[in-house]
Amino acid sequence: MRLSTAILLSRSRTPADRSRIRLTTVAVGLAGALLIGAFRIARLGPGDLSIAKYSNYLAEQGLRPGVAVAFVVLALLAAGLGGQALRIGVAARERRLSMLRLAGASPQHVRQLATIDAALAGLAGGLLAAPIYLAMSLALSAMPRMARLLPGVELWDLPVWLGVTLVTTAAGAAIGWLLAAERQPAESTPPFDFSVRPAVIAGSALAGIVVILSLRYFTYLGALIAVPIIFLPVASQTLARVGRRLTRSKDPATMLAGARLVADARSAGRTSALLAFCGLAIGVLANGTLNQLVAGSGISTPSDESFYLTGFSFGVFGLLLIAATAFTALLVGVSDQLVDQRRQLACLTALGVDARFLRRVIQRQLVLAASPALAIGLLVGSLVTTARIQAPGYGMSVGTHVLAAVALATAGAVLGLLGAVLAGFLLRNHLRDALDPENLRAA
Amino acid sequence: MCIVVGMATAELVLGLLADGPAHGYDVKRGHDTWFPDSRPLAFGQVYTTLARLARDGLAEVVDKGSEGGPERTVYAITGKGRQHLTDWLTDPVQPAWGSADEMLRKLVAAVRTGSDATGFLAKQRASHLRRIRELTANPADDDPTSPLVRDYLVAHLDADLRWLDNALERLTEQKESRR
Amino acid sequence: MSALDLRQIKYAYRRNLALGGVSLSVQPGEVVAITGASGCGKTTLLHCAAGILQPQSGTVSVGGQDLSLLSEKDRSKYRRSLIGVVLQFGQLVPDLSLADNVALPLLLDGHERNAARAAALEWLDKVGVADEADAVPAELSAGQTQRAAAARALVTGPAVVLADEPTGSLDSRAGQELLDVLLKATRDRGAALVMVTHDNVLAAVADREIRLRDGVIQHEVTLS
Repeated sequence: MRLSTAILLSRSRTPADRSRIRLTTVAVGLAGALLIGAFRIARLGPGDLSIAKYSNYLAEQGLRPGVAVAFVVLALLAAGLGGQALRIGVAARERRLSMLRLAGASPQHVRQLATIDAALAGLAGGLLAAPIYLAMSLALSAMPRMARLLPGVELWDLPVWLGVTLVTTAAGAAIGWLLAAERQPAESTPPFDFSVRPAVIAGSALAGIVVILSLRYFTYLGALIAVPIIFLPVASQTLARVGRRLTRSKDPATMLAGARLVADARSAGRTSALLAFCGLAIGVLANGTLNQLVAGSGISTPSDESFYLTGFSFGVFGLLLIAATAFTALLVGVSDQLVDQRRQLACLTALGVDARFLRRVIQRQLVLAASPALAIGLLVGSLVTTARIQAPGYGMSVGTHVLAAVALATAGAVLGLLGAVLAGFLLRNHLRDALDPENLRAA
Repeated sequence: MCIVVGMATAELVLGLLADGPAHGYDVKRGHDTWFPDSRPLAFGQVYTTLARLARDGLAEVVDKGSEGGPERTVYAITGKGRQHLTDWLTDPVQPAWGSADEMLRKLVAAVRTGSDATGFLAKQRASHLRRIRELTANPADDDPTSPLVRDYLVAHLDADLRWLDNALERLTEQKESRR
Repeated sequence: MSALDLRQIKYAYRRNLALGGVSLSVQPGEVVAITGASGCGKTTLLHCAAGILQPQSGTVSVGGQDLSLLSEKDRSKYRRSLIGVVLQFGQLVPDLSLADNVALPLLLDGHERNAARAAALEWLDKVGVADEADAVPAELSAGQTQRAAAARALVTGPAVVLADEPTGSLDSRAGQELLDVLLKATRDRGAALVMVTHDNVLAAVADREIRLRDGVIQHEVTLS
């Protein structure tokens, strides 16, 4: 197949497809901008710089490489978000691909088309990186000194940008190539292993006790990582159980949401666990930040305060990226379901099921997967630090801690709800696609 | 030997006699049971047909009846009659205008007498398909009415075929459920 | 050597056995009609022959070549050049013009766009929709898109044309015209034509009628 043919065949045409590509492009643009920023920081050269001009993070020689690396890590996270966005299934796209296959396109052809599609998104994202980088620089320069993590734009950024664009295009092509291989019809949900449950409960309880009794940071960290891993199968089972409960509801939207939850429990459980982990980590970080802000440690100076604050905020930003990625993964699961069930859903239009009703169903499905996970994660994360033995007069009172924890948990639940609403809006074209009667006619 | 061609009333009466000797009245009643919603068989036609069958050796009189009138005469099918009936039940009807009635009679008689109806149906289907093929192979003559005649014939053959398909489906299902 | 050879094709949708071992051999230049009631498996059989579905067991051979012995890439190429498929609907890429749609198999083979387009226009002319070459499917009637689909099936000069209810969504005149196109194109080149249909008048055109029931061959009738 010639390149001209491939480009003719690969461009996304439908509204739903275009919104998927747009999301990918924005994510890749963010990644590109962060990469340009990383290079900018690296170009500050060796040696300490004046802290009158720069943030401590950039001024101190020991910290600077760490910040650059952190930027790269964030870029990778944003690229991951872009990769997830590419995975979002679109019914119209599947129809089109099946027609191409009917005309004689081999799996290799389809792969080539997916690669070019993704590469074009990568290219667009790379080009978008420049304005995003400028916006980021401007925003950070308006902040107090400590928070100015980007030292400002310079001419050298231009060739860097071109290089980054090449990288994003290549990365897009690579991700497109890899993802084309995984496009399979949905596997049936494997039966849950119920004998795992007692072990899971015991393990979680043990981890909790260890965390509470421990003062050492590595067990702390270890518990932080271990709990969500243990939480993983529990999440799937819990979601499936909740789904089954809901299928007995009298409200048709709730009933359908429950059924879809049961069908998607495994992957939804995975992303639920990931969201819980994000909530957990954010909770811990937020708690530490609040501690510093509210109580102070007596030995810290205002500059130390802003130092830790910047660091924590940075970390929270990274975690929010992870949460957004996890949420997008949830969207992928939902949209895949829409694509796989498009024939059945198209039949439902005869019963008066319209895009609005389906949107309510999807939103309910997403809220159930996201909000409790975020809320629980944030609650546990904030409360865990309460158990630390404090020096008297140091840090917040227990009451304030609990209050802060509950507030954070509520914020997390609300965030999940907002995310579901946003998702319903983002997927509106996908919903329309899935309900399209054309789905009844494809081979 | 004079074999009645066309409507095949004689063969149908032979089929009605297949189960055992009967009066003319029983034959008429049997016909009307076999073909509900259809025009009943006239007594006159029954007696005429039975007489002709007896004359041709396909049926025989087994009881003259005390009163001696034709209503009391009992007829029975002969061996030659049975052979004639079997031949008639397995041969497909040449598809033409007005051949549907004979086809229907053949099918009903075959099922009622326990003959192999599905075999007959398969052959009849093939015969109809070949006839449609003949008709559509060449374009119709260009005068005002030949295409009309052609369309009529094809449409009716198509309708017959669809009925034959249904009948075949039904009988095959019955056969399977009986196994 | 037969144009298309299906041996003991078995296909099951999850637990539902749609085809329970069907064998069929089609000679070059032959027209075969596959008939049967809804759900008998005739469309599944056609999809297995066309490569849309992979049978769980059994072999599909085109021109003597067993397709399962080829690599995936070669198989696609073989299919593309030797098998033409016409479905009842939903087969043209909605955002490409008729000419591009018909040229698609050639483009996928790596032919240059102008040459492919010229061949496509030739076939669009043969099927009678040359005037609509630059229109997209949504702008045209079912009859016109169906004819374009037939042109696409024929553009690579296949040895076997598989058609699933090709006249199903057409009125009798458009259906007759499409049938004439298919018959002429296949007979002119000695290609085989396999039609799945529930229309008896269409089936009567064939040299052979094969009737399926519950996933197996019920009977076979030679009509020519």
